[in-house]
Amino acid sequence: MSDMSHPSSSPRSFYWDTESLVVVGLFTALSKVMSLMVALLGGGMNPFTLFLKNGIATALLVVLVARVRKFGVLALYVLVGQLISFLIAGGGMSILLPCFLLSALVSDALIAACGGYRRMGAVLAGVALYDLLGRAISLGYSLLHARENMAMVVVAGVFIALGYLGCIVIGLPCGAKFVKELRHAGIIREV
Amino acid sequence: MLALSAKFDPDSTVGKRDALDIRTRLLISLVVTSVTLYLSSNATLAAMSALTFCYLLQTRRYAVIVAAYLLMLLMTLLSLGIIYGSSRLFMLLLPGEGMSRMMSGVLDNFHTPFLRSIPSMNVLLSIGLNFSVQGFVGTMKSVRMPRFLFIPLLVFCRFVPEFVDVIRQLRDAVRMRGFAVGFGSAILHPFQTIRLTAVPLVVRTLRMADNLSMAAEMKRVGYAKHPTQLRTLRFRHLDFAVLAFTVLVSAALCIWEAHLPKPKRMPGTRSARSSQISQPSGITK
Repeated sequence: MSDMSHPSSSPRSFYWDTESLVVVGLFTALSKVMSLMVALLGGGMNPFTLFLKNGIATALLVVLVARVRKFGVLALYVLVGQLISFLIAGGGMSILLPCFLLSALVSDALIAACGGYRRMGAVLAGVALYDLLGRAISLGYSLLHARENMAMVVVAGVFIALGYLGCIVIGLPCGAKFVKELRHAGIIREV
Repeated sequence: MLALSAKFDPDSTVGKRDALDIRTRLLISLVVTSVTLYLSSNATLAAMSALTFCYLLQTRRYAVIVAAYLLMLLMTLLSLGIIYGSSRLFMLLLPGEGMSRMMSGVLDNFHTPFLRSIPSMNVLLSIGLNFSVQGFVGTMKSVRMPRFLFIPLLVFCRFVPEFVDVIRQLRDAVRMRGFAVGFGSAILHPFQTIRLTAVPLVVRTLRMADNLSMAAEMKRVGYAKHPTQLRTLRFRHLDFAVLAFTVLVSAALCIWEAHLPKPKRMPGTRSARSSQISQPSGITK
């Protein structure tokens, strides 16, 4: 009788629980919407909004990593972000997916090596490395896309460097502050 | 028994069926953007642009197409102005022969990267003008997308409109408290602007994540091995024909590109500099 009434009610366990996946999806959406909003507010090529946009994206990434705290969270974020970029901006950047995935995995490994996802210093170092590698790959793509005119690549390089400066100066301190406040408020749980 | 007596049309509940499968459109986008990266001559890029434009015209959304092209023209002119201004600034700040030689060629071949963007824009618009969330979710299910990709993508698709509403509510709340958030405040008070906009958004997002994950767990989203679909997606003859045509045309353009004579570069561009380096000093033509 028991076989007929209860087929198998034990839940399947996954490495990525539903909550982590929902958080990754929401933060990817939030990051895209915020970037678009800041770009529309002040113009995409405006150095100041470029600075601010990259800073906010990095701060959100710090919060995401501090919330999910699982090895591979940056890789999953990259995978979801690239799939969305493929839908939004076409397939051009998608051919760089292996490079972005590798950079995310290296950054995840750095966080794990520096003491794990519970240590804020390790999270900040991992996110800073991920941003650096990501920008190096973007610069390589710019070189490929505008190879006929090196001056344009130099200008793009300056803008990318400015964006990275925004990540370091605004993003990482703001991210650390956000996490501290959210832990204090009990929204990011310690357990 | 309405389901038995009425004529049931599954397509009527999910919108009009597109002529091509969304997977076909995504594959075309991938092929076209990859091939466009390889192409560099004006002739091949113009041919690719013309072909993808014909593909875009199939959507019959002429007003949107004209608006997109006008926007692209505007962005091109804006980029031209910014790059030209930046190059003058670099030459002023970093005087030197190398820099001035590099920046003097800033407007040479300026059109090529933008010509390369036109095919990408055409295939992208074609996806965008035929996109529906329902169709996209159906596609994700039909390709058996793994759970760790399916749930974040589903959350993204469903909750971007929600975010727009949250941002609108937030703007109203900030206004009620007597603050004005805009370009001016972002420059004059950047940290206050972040505090007033980004912090509430992050808190709202994390709370939304808690609610959504509980709802997803209750509905067992992503657990079913073979989810039931209202409409199964299938490749049809037209999809295969269009894909084959895309691959053939792309291969032909790549062969054409390989056989074209390389154009002579203007001074200041990469080829000119490399030829100057490789040429021994004292030898003149």
